[in-house]
Order: sequence, then C-alpha cells, then structure tokens
Amino acid sequence: MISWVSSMPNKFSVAFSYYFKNYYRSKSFYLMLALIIIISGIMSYFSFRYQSKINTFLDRFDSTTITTSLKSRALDYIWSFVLVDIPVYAAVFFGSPSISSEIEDRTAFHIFSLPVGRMTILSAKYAAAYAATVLISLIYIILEAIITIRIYGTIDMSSYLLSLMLTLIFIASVLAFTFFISSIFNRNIYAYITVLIIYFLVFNAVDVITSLLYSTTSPFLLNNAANIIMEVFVNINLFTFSPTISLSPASASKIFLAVAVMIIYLVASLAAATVLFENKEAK
Amino acid sequence: MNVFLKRLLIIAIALAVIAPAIYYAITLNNANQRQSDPLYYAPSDTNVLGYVNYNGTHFYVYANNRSYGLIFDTSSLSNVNFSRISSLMHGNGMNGSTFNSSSNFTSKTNISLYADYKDYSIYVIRNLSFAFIGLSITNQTLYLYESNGFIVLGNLNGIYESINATLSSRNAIGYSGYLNSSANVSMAVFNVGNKIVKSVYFNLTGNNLTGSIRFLNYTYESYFLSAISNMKGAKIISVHDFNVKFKLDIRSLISAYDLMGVLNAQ
Amino acid sequence: MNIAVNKVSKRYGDIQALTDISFEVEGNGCLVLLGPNGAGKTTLMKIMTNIIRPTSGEVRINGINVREDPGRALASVGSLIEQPEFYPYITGYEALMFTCMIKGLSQERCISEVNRVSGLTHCRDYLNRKTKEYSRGMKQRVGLAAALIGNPDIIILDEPTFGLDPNGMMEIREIILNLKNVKLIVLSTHLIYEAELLADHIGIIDHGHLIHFGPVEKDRYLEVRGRIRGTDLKLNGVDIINRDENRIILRKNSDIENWEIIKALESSGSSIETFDYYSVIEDLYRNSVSHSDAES
Repeated sequence: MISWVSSMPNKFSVAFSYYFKNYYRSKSFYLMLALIIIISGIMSYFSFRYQSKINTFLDRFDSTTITTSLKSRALDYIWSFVLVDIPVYAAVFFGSPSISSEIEDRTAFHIFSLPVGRMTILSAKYAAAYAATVLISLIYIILEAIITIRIYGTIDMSSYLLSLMLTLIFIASVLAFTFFISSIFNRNIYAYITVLIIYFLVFNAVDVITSLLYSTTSPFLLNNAANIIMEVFVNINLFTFSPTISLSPASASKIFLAVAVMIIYLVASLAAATVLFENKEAK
Repeated sequence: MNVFLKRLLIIAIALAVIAPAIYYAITLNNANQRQSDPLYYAPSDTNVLGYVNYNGTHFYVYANNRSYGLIFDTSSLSNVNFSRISSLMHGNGMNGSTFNSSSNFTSKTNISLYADYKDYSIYVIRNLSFAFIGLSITNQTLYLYESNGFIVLGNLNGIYESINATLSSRNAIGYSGYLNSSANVSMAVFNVGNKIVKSVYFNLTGNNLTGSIRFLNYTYESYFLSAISNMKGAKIISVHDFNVKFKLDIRSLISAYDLMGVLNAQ
Repeated sequence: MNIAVNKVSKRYGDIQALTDISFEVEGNGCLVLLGPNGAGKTTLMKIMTNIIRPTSGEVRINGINVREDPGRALASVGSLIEQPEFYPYITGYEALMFTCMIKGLSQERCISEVNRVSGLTHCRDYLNRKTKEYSRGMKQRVGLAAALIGNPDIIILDEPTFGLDPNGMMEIREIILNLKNVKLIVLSTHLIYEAELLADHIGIIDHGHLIHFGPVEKDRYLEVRGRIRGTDLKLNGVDIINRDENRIILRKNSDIENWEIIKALESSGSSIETFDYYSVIEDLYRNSVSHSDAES
C-alpha cells in the first residue's frame, strides 16, 4: 500500500507528460492555436482602431468620471467578453473525447492493462488537457495585458490578476464537466454533441426561462458563473432580462458565488467522471 | 482497495466539498439577490416607479395610494452621506443624530428606533426637512430601514410594504425595463385606476424629456395632443392608437407640475 | 508466477460471455486458451488484465486481486490484448518508454529496455514515427514489444501473431518458445498448429465455458500410418487409443523408446509408412467442441 501510494506521483508525472505530448501535437491543439491567434489579432486591431469608442461605451452607462483606469478596465472587459468562450471551445476539443476516445479508438486495451490505477490515468489526462487549455488561453490573456498597457499605459493589475485566476478556475471547471460527459459515452461524437447541447442550448434555455420567470440570472449555471471573468473589470451584464449595470468591479460576494459554483461543477464532475471511468469497460 | 469502498470514498469526498459549497453559494446568492437590485425593495403593486439621478446621487422611488418610499444605494451616494445613518443605526446613539452637513438635508433631524418588524429595525426620522430638485418638504416624519447596503425611506406603510416585498419576493424587479437608468429622471406610472390614462412613462435627461402616455380613450388623447402641440419646445414623436410618444424641453415649463397642470386643465 | 481464476462469469446484457471459469496456473510454461471465434477467450483475458470487470468471481495474479489493486497485480504482467492501438500523436518509442516507466523502471533502464524489446520484435526501424502512421503489423510488433518490456514474469497475449506476415509469425512464435522456459505465458489463439507448438497447458473455451483444462502431453501420443496388422502390440506401457487398417494412435505411459514401438509394430506384421507425434490438441479440441455443441 505504502509503495503504491509513493509510486503514484511518479506514475502521474509519467502519464501527464505522455498525455500532454499527445494533446499539444494534436490537430485540435493547432486548430485552437490558429483560432486564438486570429481572434487575438482581431481583438488587437479593434482595440487600436476603435479605442475612442471606449468613451462612447462608457458614456452609455454612468456619469461617473471616466478615468484612464476605468477605460483600461472597460477594454479588458471587452477582451474578457471574448475570453469566456475560449476555454469552452478548448475544453470541447480536449475534454469531450478524453475518455470516450479510449474506447472508440481502442487505446484502452493498452492503457487499462498497465499497472497503474485508473484514477492516476484520469487525473494525469485531466491535468494534461488543463495544461493545453491554459496554454492556449494564456496567449490571449497575455496579449490582452500587452494591448491594454500599450493603449492606456496602465492596467488595473489587481482586476487583471483576479480575472486570470478566475479564468484558471473556470478552465478547470468546464474541462471537468467535459470529462464527465465524455466518461458517459463510448463514442466521441456523442460526447462532443452532448457537451455543446448542454452548454450552449440547455444552459442558455434555463437561463432565459429563469430570467423571465424570476427576473434574475441563474447564478448556478456554469456559463453565468463564467461571466465573473469579465465582471471583475466592469460589472455589466446585459444579457438577461434583468441586466446588471455598474461600472464598479463585481462585488466580493458575487466573485465568491461564482467561484463556489465553479468549484461545485469541478468537484461534482470530477467525482462522477472518476466513478464512471473506474467502471469503464473496453468491450 | 475494494472497488465499492473506493467508489464510496470518492463520492464521500466529493460530497464533503460540494455540500458546503452549495450551502455557501445559496447563502451568497440570497444575499446577492438583495444587494443587486434596488427594485428588490419596491413592492410589486406600486403605481408609480421612478429613477432619479441627480448630481451623482441616484435613487428609486415607488408609490401607490397608500404608501411611498425612496430607495437609496448607499454605495452610490455622493452628496448625501447615508452611510452615517447606517453606522448610527448599528450603534447605540440613536437620538439627536444628524446627517452630514454637506447634504441637502437640514441639520435638525432626529433618528430613533421605531419598531422591529420581521427581523428588520425600522427607524423614525422626525422633523425632517428635505429639499431636492425643486421639491421641498418641511417638518415631515419619515421612516426608514436598512438592508444590505440599501436604505429605504418613506411613510410607515411604504416601509412595511417594502419589507414584505423583500420577504415574499413580490417586488418590482420585473418593472426594471420600464426605467432608463441613463436618464436623469425616469418615471413609470401604471395601473392608476383613473379614467384618463392607463400608463405614463417618461425619461428626463438634462432638459430633454421624452415620454409615452397610453390613454384609455380618444377624447383625452385628443385633449392631450392639442395641448402639447401648442406648448413651446414640445414635439409629438408618434401617435399609435391610444399611445402617444412625445418630447419636450422642460425649460419651457416652470416645473414638472406644469405638465400635470396642462393635463388637469384639459 | 501464479494466476488463479476463480469462478469468473461475465454477462453483457442478455449475453452470457463467460460462465463460472476457474483454473490456476503456476510456474513457467505456456497456457494456451483455445476456442472458436466468440468463445470468450478475449473476454477472459480482458478480465485478467483489468480491461473489463467480471460480473462475478475474481482473478488473482500472484495472490493479488486484479480488480481491487491493478497497480500491484499487473506490475509483473505484460499484455497484448486484441489489436493494439496507441495514442495517435505519440511515437512508438514514446509509447514503449511510457509503458516501461509506468512499470516503475528508471529512465536509463527504460532506454535499454526499449532497445532490447524493439530489437526482439523487429520494430526498431519505425519507432520514431507517430503511431497513427503504423500499419496493423507494425502496431502488433510494437504492442508485443510493450508486452515484453520490463521483463515481466507473466505475459498475457491475445492472438499475438494476428496481422503478421509469415516471417513475423515465425519470429513471434520463436520468441514465445524461448520465453516460456522462464516465464508464465497465457496465450489465446484459434490456430491449432500454434497451440500445438506452444502449449504446455491447454484450456479449451467454447460458448463461455471452460470445457477442458489440463497439461498437454504431446510427446506421449504417436500416430503411425501404413498397413496395420495385429490387435495387440504386446508392449508394456503403450495403450492403443484408436486403430484401423491404415492408422493406429498410441499413448506412451512409460519412458519406452520410439524404436521399441516401431520394432513391436513390425514384428506384428505391420508395414510403417509414417511415424509421428500425434496432435492431441486437435483431437481434444474436436471432441470437446463437438461435445459442447451437441450439449448446447
């Protein structure tokens, strides 16, 4: 037992580097990389081209004095507006086929018969997918900081770092969710479709319905919790029937709520994925 | 390890993290619900709902035939220092307290605890003299309570109805779409129960007032149209069935009451 | 080196894939699981290697339950189950290094191990290519190399010569013949010739039942063809299993020499055209499977 436990970290790191290689060499990774470069380029162009529009954007809301710091936060809000969907697509690429492909592509015959616990395999694969997604997202996030500093000469570092930290938590959460869905199926296509349907159709439908019925957003939906990534810059959420409009950053309680929701998804999804993966059979 | 035990352990650990996280999230969410929207404190059966943004101080107004109230978000106050009220209310010295001298409130104000109602403390302000946007109130007695950074100020019925609205979720959040928070003044009047109009909405930004009135019959609509077309600085935007949209420069009116006067005269 | 299969059953929905399979093998040698397609050989091997779980029963390798502690139970096992597949963007070399390091060997040791097994299975030439570019035979060789890596005491091979060219088949059989002197090998095949060549123990599986299990005494059975005369060889330690005018099958019960049997046959008036070891496995298989079919 002791030797088994002590060998786990070593086996984990071996499996992690193995899976990470398989991720970063994959077509999915290069496709995401190309997309992120294109999106970053477009965002950079628009940030320079239409920086005067930031003032117009701010004028629409409050008469609060428009400071450079507020402008930079508004720009970061716009960048983060795009950012919240990037981990979702990356997670769909890397997470959705993570477990189902073991069965569909028959790699499970080799992997499952190795002297390594399935929990180690799952956690290593999850960590590798997480690293690949973070790597992709970081390109965009770092460019966001560079462009903001370039335009305004400053960046609200505390909001930026907070947003970065929340992005990292969100990536962990959405990736865990895709792993869970993937562990249900033995075919990649079902996992892909289910993740997309749940995230973009079911979540949005529930959101619209609760917004209509109860005049509030559903804070317990992962996509709404993800909005905190942009709301830490400027607390604007116009995408519901009860919009939030404030040029102040989101309150601490709102941030904690979003983090709690993400952690709930993260832990519940990973636990469910682990139990399902433990029982997975390559028939 | 036994497979069943391993599965049990995973589920137990997950539940140990998730259960408190869910509890924490629900608690936070309930708190956020209260904090996030000022209209949460306005009762749903209100007839008049308004938003006023004056020199950086903004507040919401609600009223019906029994009650009225003003909702202030303490975090957004600049000219009026309501946080002092809040701190006083939570301290011991209730009597003889004063507002900040820089406020538009007179200094002769007494705040004292009036009653506890459903876990909220209601305070009474006697001899309140109040001057705000051409509106002046002298030696009035008003009541207030504070909840999650919001202060509701109004008559006693207004306070009770506000507290009940927060507890029963029968609040005015659903009406938020009628108000334009980028205007200086935005008002919505509906369910008034008279024979002339069904609803009135208007927004005041600077000196420009844009409004929309839905009449109950063509007679009063035609009176209004003839009146407004003769007013200096007024312009009709559209007429559709019983609905009239108009625009006017309030400098052409002595005060907002003139508009009502015009209507009453008709 | 011990594998104990204890009352293992496996059900897929309405299909009973395995029923109450029990056996135990110990020490070096080769156990061949023989049976027709779909008999349950691969299912049993998947249970032995934790790829699937039994509906009931258990498999213990060196006394450790495979299902409960696969990390320890499979530490001394190398396996090749079905057609092996590897992650597409990984090279064969990386797949072997991963397999080796997961078995707990150091990086230096793994480098020499990969070198050794890739030489043994003749896959060294294409190890640096990504596995998605491999042909079926290439994957089979790398899969076999992965099974042999780390020099495991127990090797479980599911149709290891499947997909290989004739040379490849011969090479693999040669490797197994060498290994079985020092390792415990469990191998499945539906080729009787292969089983005949490699088996020390034979398990015949049909319709999910283990219908025969036991050691193979292939050197004890003889088949003589020609013109057979006389009803008794008058030779102690030799039983006649089957005979007609052109063929006689004999079983040696003692260390009697073959030339003594030839001499006895000739003295009874028989003329011998061929004298060879008899394929007992084929006989066993034919009898067992036809019996099983009749019962089912």
